[in-house]
Amino acid sequence: MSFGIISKAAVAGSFRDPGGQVYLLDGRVFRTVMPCAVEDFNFVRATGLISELVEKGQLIPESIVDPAMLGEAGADASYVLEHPLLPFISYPYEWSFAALKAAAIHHLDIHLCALEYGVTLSDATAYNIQFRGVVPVFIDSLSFRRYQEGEFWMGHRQFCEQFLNPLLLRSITGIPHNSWYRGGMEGISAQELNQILPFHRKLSFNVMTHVVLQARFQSQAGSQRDAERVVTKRKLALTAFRQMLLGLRKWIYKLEPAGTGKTVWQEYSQDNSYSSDETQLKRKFITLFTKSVSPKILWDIGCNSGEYSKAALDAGADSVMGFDFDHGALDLAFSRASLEGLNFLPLYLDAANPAPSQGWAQRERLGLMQRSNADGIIALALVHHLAIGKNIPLPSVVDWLVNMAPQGIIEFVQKSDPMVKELLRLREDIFDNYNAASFVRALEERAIIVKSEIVSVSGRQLFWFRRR
Amino acid sequence: MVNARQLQIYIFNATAHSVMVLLGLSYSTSAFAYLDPGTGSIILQGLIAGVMVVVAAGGVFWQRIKSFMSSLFSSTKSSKNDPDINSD
Repeated sequence: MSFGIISKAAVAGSFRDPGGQVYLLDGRVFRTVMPCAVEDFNFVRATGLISELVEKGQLIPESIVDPAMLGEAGADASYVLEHPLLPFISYPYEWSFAALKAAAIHHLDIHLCALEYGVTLSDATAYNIQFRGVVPVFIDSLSFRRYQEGEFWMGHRQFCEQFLNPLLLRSITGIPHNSWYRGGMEGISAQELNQILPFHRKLSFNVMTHVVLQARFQSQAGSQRDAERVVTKRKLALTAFRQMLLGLRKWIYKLEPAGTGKTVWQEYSQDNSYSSDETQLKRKFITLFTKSVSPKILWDIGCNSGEYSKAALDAGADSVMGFDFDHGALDLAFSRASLEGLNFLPLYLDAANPAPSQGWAQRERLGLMQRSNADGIIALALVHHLAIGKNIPLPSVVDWLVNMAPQGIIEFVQKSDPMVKELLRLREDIFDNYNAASFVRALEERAIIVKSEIVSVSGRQLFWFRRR
Repeated sequence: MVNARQLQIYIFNATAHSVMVLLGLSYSTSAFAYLDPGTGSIILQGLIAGVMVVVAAGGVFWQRIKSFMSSLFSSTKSSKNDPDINSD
């Protein structure tokens, strides 16, 4: 794979800021600090802000290294920094509502803390936030610069587009942000959101200002001239700046997906479905597999509310990335990980249409498979959804899963199972090749079956595979 | 619907200009950014700058009232462990 816009090792998503760029070299992450950014860099570090944020775990750690480590790419840089490698880079269109909300609050907290030190943030992109488990961490150490008295919040529009508006979309209309966000990549504009919000929801002070008025001012004739006049003749007092951030934080903290209120979080109960024999057997099988292969990064495709992800973590997996297309399940999974402190991040995935490589030159944001680094997968109750629900040929489903990691567990669900019958209830059964024998044949062509076990009376079967 | 919308727009503009006149601070600054802040956002911030100062001041005033009230009640029991009114 080539990233090659500036250098082979440059991470394509980091080209927008002339102050520096991120490089990935032999599994290590470097960042250049260019001469144009060095004054702010030194000022911000002298304030003590960076060390405080790193100490609190809110910002990714950094250390200054020899620029020669980057070769030519480091030649013009004033400094070269090294950051720890994160297990996985996820994008806001893969985040659940709860994850986007946590990221939004994290961004505001960092900005509020920065202002205390006379520092501000130069942008407000959601791509600057990543997750360790479900705990957000800010990853762009060059977003910080000296605060100038009276300056406006330059990242306000971007904050609204990338955090606030997608959250409002789900919170007010009930529509999850993911597909829209993935399409536009930079979030949802105030003008777009303003078009679809019901009139009575626009009457609150917050919606009226951040969505309605902003959209109105953005699209009115002569807005460029008005904005120029505001910037040159007026100031945003620090008190007002802080109040804007605090007001947004208070508002976002209370947002919940429409129709769920707080019940999703309150109804969460621990281990309520571990009682059935089938669940116990699956749990045992996953424990055996995890203890045997000790995965560092396990992907749970079709993670639901995360009970088998938790089983894998209990058995010694370092971290689990979960994927599901059910937003309610993702919210529950996020809540579970948060309450129990699990190193587990549940993400949105339509397995039949994973996130593509996109953005500038189609390399700015990488597709899911380009970011795949799992050393193990579990895919329970998934194959029938793809093979029957989406008409994807069974060998193709097996191929996709086996290519994802060198080893894993796949569940095969028989046609006689009530769940498959449900999928076929309103349609013709055109799936003559959907049977255990075909599945085993497809799997054995690509992998060795280490162990298999029937786990339910309907004949659901787990297969532990090792890729050939 | 169109009429209501036009009225809505008119009210926004009138309010915006009145609030700017009433609460605006009239000194100058310069701004720089590698990010386009967006004209809508900048005009909005110019508009609500004064409102935000008032809200912040009101918040401080409200906190003082609350802590005064709680000190009145807690003085009869114990002055220790006042709740943190800023916590979520």
